[in-house]
Amino acid sequence: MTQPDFAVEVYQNEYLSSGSTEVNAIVTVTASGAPTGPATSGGAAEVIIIDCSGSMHVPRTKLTSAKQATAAAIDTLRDGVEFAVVAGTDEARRVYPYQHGMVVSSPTTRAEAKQAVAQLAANGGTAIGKWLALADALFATSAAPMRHAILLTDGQNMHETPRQLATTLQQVTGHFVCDCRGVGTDWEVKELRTIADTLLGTVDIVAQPEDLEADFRAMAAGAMDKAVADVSLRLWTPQGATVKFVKQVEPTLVDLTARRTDTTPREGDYPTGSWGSETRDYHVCVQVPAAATGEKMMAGRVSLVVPGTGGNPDQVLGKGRILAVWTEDTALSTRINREVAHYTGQAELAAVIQEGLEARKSGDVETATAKLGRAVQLATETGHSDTAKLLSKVVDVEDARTGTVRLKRKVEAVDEMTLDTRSSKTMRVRKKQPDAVPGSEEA
Amino acid sequence: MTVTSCPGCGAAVGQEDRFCESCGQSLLVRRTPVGGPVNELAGGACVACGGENIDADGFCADCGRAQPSGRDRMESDLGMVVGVSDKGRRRARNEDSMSYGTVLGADAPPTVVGVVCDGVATSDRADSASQRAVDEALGVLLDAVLENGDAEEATRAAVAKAIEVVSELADPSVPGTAPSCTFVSAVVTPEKVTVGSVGDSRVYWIAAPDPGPDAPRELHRGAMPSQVLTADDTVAAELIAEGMSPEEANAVHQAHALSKWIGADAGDIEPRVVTVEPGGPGFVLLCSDGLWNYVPDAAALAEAMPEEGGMVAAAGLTKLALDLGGHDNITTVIVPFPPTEGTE
Repeated sequence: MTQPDFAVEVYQNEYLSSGSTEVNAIVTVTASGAPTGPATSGGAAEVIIIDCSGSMHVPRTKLTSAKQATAAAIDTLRDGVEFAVVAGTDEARRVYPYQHGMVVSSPTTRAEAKQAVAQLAANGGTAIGKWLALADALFATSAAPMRHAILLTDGQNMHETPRQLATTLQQVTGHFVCDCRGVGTDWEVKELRTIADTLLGTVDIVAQPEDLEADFRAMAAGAMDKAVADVSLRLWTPQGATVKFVKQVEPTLVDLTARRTDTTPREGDYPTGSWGSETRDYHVCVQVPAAATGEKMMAGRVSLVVPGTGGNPDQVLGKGRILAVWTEDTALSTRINREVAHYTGQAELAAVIQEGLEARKSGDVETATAKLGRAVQLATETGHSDTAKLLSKVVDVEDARTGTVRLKRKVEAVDEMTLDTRSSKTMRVRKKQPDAVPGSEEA
Repeated sequence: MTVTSCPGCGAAVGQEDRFCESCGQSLLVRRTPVGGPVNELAGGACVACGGENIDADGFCADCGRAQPSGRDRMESDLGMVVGVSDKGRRRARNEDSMSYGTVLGADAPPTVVGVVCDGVATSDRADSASQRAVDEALGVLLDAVLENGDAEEATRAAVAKAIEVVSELADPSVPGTAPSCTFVSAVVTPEKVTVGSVGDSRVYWIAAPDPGPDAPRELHRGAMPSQVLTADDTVAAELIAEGMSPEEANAVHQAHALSKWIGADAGDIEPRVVTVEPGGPGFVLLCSDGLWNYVPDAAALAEAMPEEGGMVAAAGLTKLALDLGGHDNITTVIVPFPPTEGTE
């Protein structure tokens, strides 16, 4: 299987005023030239997990739509892909294949799987940890490097403790990528976001059951387009430096800081999951020891590590340098890099929405008003019109420019949850020509 | 003088040859390379942490510090002339350039030619501007020496050439950022020193230290006292020339802005050209303002210059400027006077 090429570009203002130690950079990683899918090689495995708890009957369309959506996802699987379907309640049950393990996708097995899904009934509780553990066990029977799961739930994780879920999550982390979807409004945004972030997948709300089908098809198709799994972002930092954070900032906001695995004394790897032909942005913030004015330092070096196939060693692809140059020229050191500013704003926007909604839930009107007001202001400033629209369903906006808002007395649960879930979706900054960036090169 | 191999390419040459049969270079001329005496990294330890892993791009693999390389610190010792050009402590890059060469065994007496240009920091690609200017100007001056031409005329021709090549670097679509630089040159023969200048780089005459009463008689030839041989083309200098007091002139807005420079937007300019006969031993010192801003007075410079001369003197003056702050790029070219073959 041919691997995509990874190109790394760095956007930053490398000039620091004398004595400054914090270096910020946006690292854009572009994978290109990926094959159109691992179709025939059997390189991909897919597990679809459907919530079959009792509440999926209320309204009845939820389970019906979930079944249709699962069928659509199964139809999207290419021949040769290994797959399985799991029904989740307070237990986890393999629905298909009927025997153990996973099965190779073909017109016959897909038809059988759809038949099995059609017979699903809703009955029981919700223990998401058990669902993930079964998915993990199924993936363990497969040699496919690209492992992707779709998880659909309509409720909170009632039938196991948060600790049990956390323990399972820890055990399965890194084994597969999982996109999570909440249907209806009885599920917990924070809970599902934690699962999705940990398993390097996306989280979204599907308020209307009938919208599930298109969403499932898109997720399965996305999984089919991945060409390489378990890619890590490798960050070298100089002696005496501290990595303040590493966040994926596009297409969604995911804090990877705590996910570091040290490889050498100066290098650490951050997991990024599977890649097709796509572009993602990362915000890297490094604290370096200050050097004298006029000195220049490499504050970080970013590359991508692709696991070697067939016993070959890992490949380190692409290379981008994050620089620090100390100057007394304030015209240089005060220059604001638009990419860094853009994503710093996006991160703040996500944070104030989540904090604001949290405060609103706990009855802290003052904090909620201040945070959501700031969110309105930021969304307006940055042209984040989708978010501004979602915010206007939760607060009455008096002056968007100053962020003067009043909490709405009555808010639909779906509006609040949509705003919360989508707060971590980011908007791409329009890039300048990368030739303005020294220290970046193509793999 | 006998040359047995080409100083440029190393090929063997005949005793009477004036040009290398192999590379065509004049065998009578030694000069700094076009593009500047840019040294390869010395190799070895990191300047900041002492670590020994320097990556291919010149960064320390331990502390990340960029290692000084290329233009950051240029040094070249041609015996009859030495020079050091240093980035200094405050600037991101070295926009000064220097070039020099010697002519021996021609019909002319032993002659040394040196050029220093200081790239104007507010202009675009100031380092390319200064480097092209010194390389081309040196070529014009060396050719003139080989042809026994007039030094003052050659100096004007060198400035004209510098203006021509620097102007070619300008991007007409971006007004106000035309690459530009200052210019000083010196043509040093056993009798005379001819200097040319545009802008605020300087040439000094530094009289040799008093040899003491016990020294041989011939060393007591009275040289002229240490002094600046150029005049600055700055707003303040012009106001002083018009009669304003130095205190008042230095206080005006943009007192140290250049009133003349080399570049596409420089207008129709002529260099100042003067010739002096020092009358005794000493040194001709060409420098950018990164040095003389700290020690403007000629007698003080003479005092500060290490007595050993040569690279020790050039490196010593550079260190002095660095120790005093190193706010700008520092370039120092020293020609012992009178130039003799023996100094090589």
